[in-house]
Amino acid sequence: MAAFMKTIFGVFIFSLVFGLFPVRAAGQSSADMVDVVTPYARASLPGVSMGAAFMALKNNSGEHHYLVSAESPVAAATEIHGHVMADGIMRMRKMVGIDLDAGHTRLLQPGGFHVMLIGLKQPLQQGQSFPLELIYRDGSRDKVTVPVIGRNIPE
Amino acid sequence: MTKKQFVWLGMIAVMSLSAGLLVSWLASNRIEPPKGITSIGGDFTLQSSQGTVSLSRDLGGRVVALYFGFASCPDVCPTSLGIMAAALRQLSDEQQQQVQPVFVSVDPERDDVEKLSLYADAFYPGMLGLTADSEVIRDVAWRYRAIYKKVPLEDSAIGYTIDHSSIIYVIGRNGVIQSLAQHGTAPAEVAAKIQAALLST
Repeated sequence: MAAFMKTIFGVFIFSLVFGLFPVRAAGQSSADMVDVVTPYARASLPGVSMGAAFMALKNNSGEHHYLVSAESPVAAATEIHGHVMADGIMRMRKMVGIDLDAGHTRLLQPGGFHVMLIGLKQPLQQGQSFPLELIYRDGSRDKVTVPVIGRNIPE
Repeated sequence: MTKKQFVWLGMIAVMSLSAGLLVSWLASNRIEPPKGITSIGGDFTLQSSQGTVSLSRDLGGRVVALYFGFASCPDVCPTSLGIMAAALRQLSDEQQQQVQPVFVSVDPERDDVEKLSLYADAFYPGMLGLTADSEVIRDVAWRYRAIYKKVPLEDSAIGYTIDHSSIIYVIGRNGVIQSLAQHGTAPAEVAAKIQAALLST
């Protein structure tokens, strides 16, 4: 009986410890810990071979993650770009990466950060979707399907 | 008083009288200064796929909504032109016919008039896509205080980008700027500015 109680107690302690710390963050990759929410791109404009993908990156962990690059077969090059508006002048620059703070959601949205698609092989058409891979500093990758939406701005 | 002095006096009297009459005539017929922002803007002549377009000659009598940008701008210019188009669609058909939206590319190196025509038309049917030689563009942009600067991005596949101001200029039928909409102004507010220009010029 004592041995049985000891086993029950052991299971209890085991459950308690792992119940309190259900997800051990260390050892989990960035791709596991960051959710990519509502990705989209706008349909290509005539004659324009540049595109941009937008999304929200939700860091569910208690640790910092870092997006460093992206790849997509639809474009000759894929880069992470950001905008800064200062003194009425809009400046766009290539980013070395985007910080994803612990427990925070980072928006990639018009006027801010975006994944820039350079040299589109085909125009992006409304209703289609395309694959995009987000690459984090730890080398892990999130595979995302990006739907293409129309250009009209809600009134 | 000699005869010579008398003639001189007479001439002075006539000149004074004329000057006085001229001043009073000018005062009574004072020309109203044009309404709007006259310190910037003015006439321009640029190229479209259909030929030369001059503000005074070809667009006079309509309200013009003008934006400076470049076609490969991935998000700021399309957003602004989308807002301009959404604003126009809030107007009645009759009002829309009295408004000419114009996109001017400050990137003639990458944007030719054929490309700009298709590009502008994709936002709003009839939107003009204009550009010109870089010297002409520089002059027009300067007069409208539209700021742009080519910036090489050496580590990027795009080669260079253009830092730029993002403003919609609402020009009255008289060719004078009536109002400006800064970047990110909502379509309804842009529509209100266009309507005000339709009513006041």
